[in-house]
Amino acid sequence: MSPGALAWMIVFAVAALAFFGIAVIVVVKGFADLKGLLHLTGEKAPNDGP
Amino acid sequence: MNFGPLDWIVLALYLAASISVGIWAKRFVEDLSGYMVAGRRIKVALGVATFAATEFGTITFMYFGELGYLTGFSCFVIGVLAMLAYLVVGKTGFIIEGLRRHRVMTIPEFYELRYSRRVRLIGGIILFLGGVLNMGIFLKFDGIFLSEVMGFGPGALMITMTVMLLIVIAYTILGGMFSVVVTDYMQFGVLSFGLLIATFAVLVHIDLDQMSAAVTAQLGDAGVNPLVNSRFGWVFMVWVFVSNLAAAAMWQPGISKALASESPETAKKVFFWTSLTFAGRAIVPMFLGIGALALLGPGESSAAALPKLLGRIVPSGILGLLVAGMLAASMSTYSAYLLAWSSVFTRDVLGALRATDFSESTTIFIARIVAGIIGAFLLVFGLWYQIPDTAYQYVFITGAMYTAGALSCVAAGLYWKKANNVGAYWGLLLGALSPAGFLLLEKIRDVLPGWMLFITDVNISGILSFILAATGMILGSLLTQEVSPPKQLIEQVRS
Repeated sequence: MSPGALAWMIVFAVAALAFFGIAVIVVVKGFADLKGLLHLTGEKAPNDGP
Repeated sequence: MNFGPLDWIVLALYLAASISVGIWAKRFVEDLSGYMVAGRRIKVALGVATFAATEFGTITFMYFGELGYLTGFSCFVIGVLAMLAYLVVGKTGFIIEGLRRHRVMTIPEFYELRYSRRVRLIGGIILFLGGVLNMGIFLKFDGIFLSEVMGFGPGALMITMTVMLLIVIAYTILGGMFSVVVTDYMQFGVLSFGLLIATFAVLVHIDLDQMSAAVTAQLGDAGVNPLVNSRFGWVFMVWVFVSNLAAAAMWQPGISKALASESPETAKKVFFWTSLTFAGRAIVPMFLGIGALALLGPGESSAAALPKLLGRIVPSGILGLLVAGMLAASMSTYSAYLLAWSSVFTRDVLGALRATDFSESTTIFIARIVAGIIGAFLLVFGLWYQIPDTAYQYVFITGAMYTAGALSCVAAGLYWKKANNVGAYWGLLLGALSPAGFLLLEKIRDVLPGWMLFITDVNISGILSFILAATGMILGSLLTQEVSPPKQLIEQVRS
């Protein structure tokens, strides 16, 4: 493998780890955020919205 | 056909879940800000999920895969530049913090605050045209992906894509940003899993040395060095960085997620964390595209090579999860784009033509109709339009029609007291000039005189749009300070 290709492979590994790592954290923590958002908003009363 | 019964079951379950959740979220829409920016109550993790899902569609997967297949490792630089641009915006709050502080829902709304209602109208028209043209090719690439991965003919594809679009239109029209956020969250999880499956399949089937050897054999030094690759070079790299900076701060579907954040500080954090996914969003599909070059060789259609590879190496059963992941990516992108462009057309084009704004219920009613019309346009345009150059460059040049002018108007509007109406007009119109020129003149390249050929180079046309827009804003403002005194912003105290 050429040095240039090896360098880009390392960039790929770091980028992929960051992407999938953040995806896991965001999916886990985002669920609590989502519950909070829907709880704060509450269901609108029938016939009072658009 | 590559798709087995188990794949169909997975796909059907996913589609049913998407539409149920999307329509269920309709009950949370209370008013206009609920419909367009989810009541400005989005926290960091949810904001990152919905922002990242918006910015990752099947089209993204396809155009980055195409670049990997055509240019080898050298295109990885695009992912690094995109990450850096979004990181700058996230760390500094460049533009997004100011926009969130002024509580606008769309970018052209800011034009009225800082310039005039007429600037808002012109900006709204350019944003709407650039945005819908930009989105115009998405469906076509989704079609190629499904065709190659599932092993369908074009007839069945049309039906599949129409059904998917109808589902997205249905829940976007009904539930607005609430539906978009709830489904984005679910779709981000599914799309990340789909991408992981594709990456794992390629790593299992193709050796890293084999990929490196394929790039060296087909592309030589141009496969690892973007500066010597004829598709890239310095002009391209500067353009990509500047346009990513502009897109980060001003691309309406993405920025609407920042404007939906619970505070300006949250908006900055959402951008910072999302920026760290931006290198992977580009580089992972590019890497898979190189896998297609290594396994299939250089003779394939560049757009179809990556999905063809996946259809061949991903086993039945898992393929359904992969397709569900990519459909999730597409649906989250479509929903955010439909909401963004219908909001802009309703509030900033139709609304700006009137002396007073529409009522909230009328705005939502019109936005729903416009979203339906945009969906119908996408079906027609996507089928007949032939893309010049690579899909990546098409997406960026149509984006530049709006972002170049918007960058000059919004940045100057926030940070330069001398920016005035005339500078805003010049910036917006000159920014749209060279991308529009490229899209029109590229079709008649053969009959153009030699001195005009530069405009048919997508990279030159792209960077030129930013230079012209900035020049227009600066000269237009400085030369007309007396006849058009600048209007100053009034700070909004609520956050």
